[in-house]
Amino acid sequence: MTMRSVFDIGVSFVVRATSVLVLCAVVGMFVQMVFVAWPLTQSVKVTPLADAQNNIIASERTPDWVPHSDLLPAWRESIMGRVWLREDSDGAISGAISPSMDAAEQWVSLRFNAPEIPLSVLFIDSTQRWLVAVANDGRYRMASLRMDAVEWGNIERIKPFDYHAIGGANETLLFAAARSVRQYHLLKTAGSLYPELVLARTWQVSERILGLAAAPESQRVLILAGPQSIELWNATAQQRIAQKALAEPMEGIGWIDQHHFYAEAARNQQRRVWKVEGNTDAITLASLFTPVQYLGYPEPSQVWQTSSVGKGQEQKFGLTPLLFGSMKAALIAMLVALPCAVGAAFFVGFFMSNRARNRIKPIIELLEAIPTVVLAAVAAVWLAPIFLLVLPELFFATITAVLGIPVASALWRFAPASLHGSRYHGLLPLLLIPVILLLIAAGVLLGGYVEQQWMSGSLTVWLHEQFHVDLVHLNGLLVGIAMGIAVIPGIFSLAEDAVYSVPRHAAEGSLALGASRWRSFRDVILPLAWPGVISAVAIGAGRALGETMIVLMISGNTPILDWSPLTGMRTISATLAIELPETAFSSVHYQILFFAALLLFFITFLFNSLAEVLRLRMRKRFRVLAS
Amino acid sequence: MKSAVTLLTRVRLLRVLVLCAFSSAVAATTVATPEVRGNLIITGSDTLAALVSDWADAFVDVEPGVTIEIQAMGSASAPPALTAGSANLGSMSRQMTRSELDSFFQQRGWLPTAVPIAVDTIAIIVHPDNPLESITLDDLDSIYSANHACSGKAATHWADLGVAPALGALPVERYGRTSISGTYGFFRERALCRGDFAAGVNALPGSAAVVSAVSQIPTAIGYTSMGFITDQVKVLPIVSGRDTSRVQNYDADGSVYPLSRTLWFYLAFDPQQPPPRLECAFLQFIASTRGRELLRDGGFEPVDSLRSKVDGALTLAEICNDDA
Repeated sequence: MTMRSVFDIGVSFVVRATSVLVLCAVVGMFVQMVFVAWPLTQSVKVTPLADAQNNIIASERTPDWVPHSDLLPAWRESIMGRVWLREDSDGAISGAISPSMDAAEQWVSLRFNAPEIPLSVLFIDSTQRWLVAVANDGRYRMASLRMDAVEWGNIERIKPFDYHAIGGANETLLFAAARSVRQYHLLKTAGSLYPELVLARTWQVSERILGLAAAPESQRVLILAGPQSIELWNATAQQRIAQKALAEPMEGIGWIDQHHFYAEAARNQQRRVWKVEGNTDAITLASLFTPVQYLGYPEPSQVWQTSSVGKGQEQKFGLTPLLFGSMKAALIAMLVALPCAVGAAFFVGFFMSNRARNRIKPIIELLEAIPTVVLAAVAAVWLAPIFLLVLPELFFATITAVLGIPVASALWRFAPASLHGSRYHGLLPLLLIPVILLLIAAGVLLGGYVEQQWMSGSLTVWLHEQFHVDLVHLNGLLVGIAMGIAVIPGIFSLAEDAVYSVPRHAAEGSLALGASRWRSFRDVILPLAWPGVISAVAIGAGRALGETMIVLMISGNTPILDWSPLTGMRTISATLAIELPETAFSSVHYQILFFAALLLFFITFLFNSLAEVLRLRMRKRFRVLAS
Repeated sequence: MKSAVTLLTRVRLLRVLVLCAFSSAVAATTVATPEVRGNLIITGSDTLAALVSDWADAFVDVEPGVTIEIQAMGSASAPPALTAGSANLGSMSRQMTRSELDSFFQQRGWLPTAVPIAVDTIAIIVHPDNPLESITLDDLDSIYSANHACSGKAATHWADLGVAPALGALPVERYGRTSISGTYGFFRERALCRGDFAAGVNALPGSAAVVSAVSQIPTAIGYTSMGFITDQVKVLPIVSGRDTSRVQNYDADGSVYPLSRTLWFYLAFDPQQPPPRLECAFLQFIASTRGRELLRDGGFEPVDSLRSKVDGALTLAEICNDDA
């Protein structure tokens, strides 16, 4: 064996080993993402605790806030936040507000009346601005705690109820009557001084409801449905997440903490305690991708709002806006990149002389060397602030360039015959550069003129007045241009290779038969090269979908559902970059982010597989052609 | 020389690892005479986590005999840790509540000492050409909120805020921080009544980016930490509207800026005993020039530029200069 063959064997081994490694890495990444996101598919587990543990956990939990007994001996209502309340013997409600955390000693006493209503709920919302008093018959009044004098709003009415609970970090009131649970939230409408109690969600259980309890700081609701069945619901999802049949009939239920609940046969009798584990957020594909009724929103909506202020506020995991944003960004980028990249690829790959091609191609490919973060920074710092000012110029320059180039080519026919010699043929595009510059200059002037004359000097004002279209600086068009520039070299390079690698003799045949160069390209080269071109486009699209820095810095990261290229977007990739480093490990948020990553991986994988299939098909054709 | 800053912060692990590597490189070049030794455990505020870890890194460079552990699980985690003695310092973005103080007192027989360390202030900024002179909290809710929990109405164009045409006809372009920032959460709590940010609010990855965007875009409004303000933007004062929050406006005359809060360190030490050397050394480092630099870099203000009064808090000198 010679040195050379040993070397060859070595190299081939290394190549094979690395390709296996790469494959393993891809599979490993996939498995890891599935592994992290997997708990989302798990159902909730409710396990009874052994008797020995019952006593420890069932002992009374100390509440976060206790009334200061020296100051307020007679107070018997529970305390929420910084406002203390009681119902006096004459039916009046009086309260005290601790005006400041800085000055806990200063107390302001308030006295206000809620006559004739036998109260069953006295409730202060989480922002501590509203006091709600609800009577058993469904009548309620609302008082504002922010004004100097506390005043009651009008008596309104909700449906009568049998049981009530305060849930989800004091954001919501739950009422139960017969077999249905109704969840109300406070909604403030324009012009009204007081918010209203509005029905947010409602759901039915199988048996008559004998008890209702909301878990602290969450949207989990425990329902005693009939004497011998406990149901656990997630209010946000309006889904039953667990059910437990009871051996003996029970009368009361309640929560010990977020993850433990109890049932008791009679008040303060022997309690039985259960532990709740698993995916209690009831995240399903439907909740991720369809509108959900959230508290504080007038209608079901698709919202991505993963942080919460204070414990227990609903986290809103609507993936649709993110998926939509990724698609929108990639689509606009492709609309910008496709004509440029593919057009250039056709021209360089077929029409240009070899000599010119060898110089031009590396120059375009050099664009790929620009890190996307640099592109993004330039776009954010330089282009974004002036983008709306130069939009008319940009628009008209594009139009004049696109329309002007064919006109210029047509005029070229009238050029002196001496210029038409083959000597200059490959350099023809260079001749076009001054023409394009002239056309762009004309477009810029035209744009400026049109804006001055017809749009009274400002495109943004004109668009608003004429069409009620609002322009914002960080928009899809800007993202499209920056990302388009980022993906142009990649698409160009692959598409040009596809065109150039079509065996020349195929075109030479048609040229010899008298077809024009364009005709030969269209009818002979393109039918052979198109799988390669499409594959290049698919790879470019995959890259645009996964691109992060550009969208992170100039898309505005606004999770809105709007196809208009004049609004921004928030992509999956940017969301991962923003949120993943700051998300608690193995939280639901973390799992959902990984699910989104999986989704992105899957989509780009699809695009790349498509590209690979098309490339294989092209190779097969060439083999047929060559034989 | 090896700085051992153990960080149990669940979130900023990666960044801190980089910081640690960097700071040990820096530490190798500085000459330090170790004065204090021991292990300092700081538990508490999320908002302060980044700043405290920066302080800790810089302090360990100066005092290599010290190790610092940081747990940032939120302000509420500080009082129990101090009460149980599992932390030397508690960092909090609010003062301790009455019940927290009560339970501390019941366990230990004396009260913890509060030291104001920084002021976190959010400024509302617009382009210098913007004619708007002031803004109300309700306006901010109308502009930034998705569900308008405070104001009940939306403001989408500058005309909705009473700005005359030309600018009035244009949309309000809203700039802010991403959800991981403490500024984001604080603004949401104070200005949006805990409501959600509208989807159309541009979330930029840094405070400086917000200031830069607002300085260049005539239709923009932004909120940012006070520390990042430049003279390229106009800072809007917040005036009391019809419905200005009294819970947050502590003073009777309403003169306190509503988007400002004091951040605190709580020390657990018996006032009868001499002050703890390690904790005091760390607090003195915070008050030093380098400590203040880090404070400003983090977007906070030092306490002496504080406009809201700090009730009954002891100064550092009063706490630590007790030689008796």
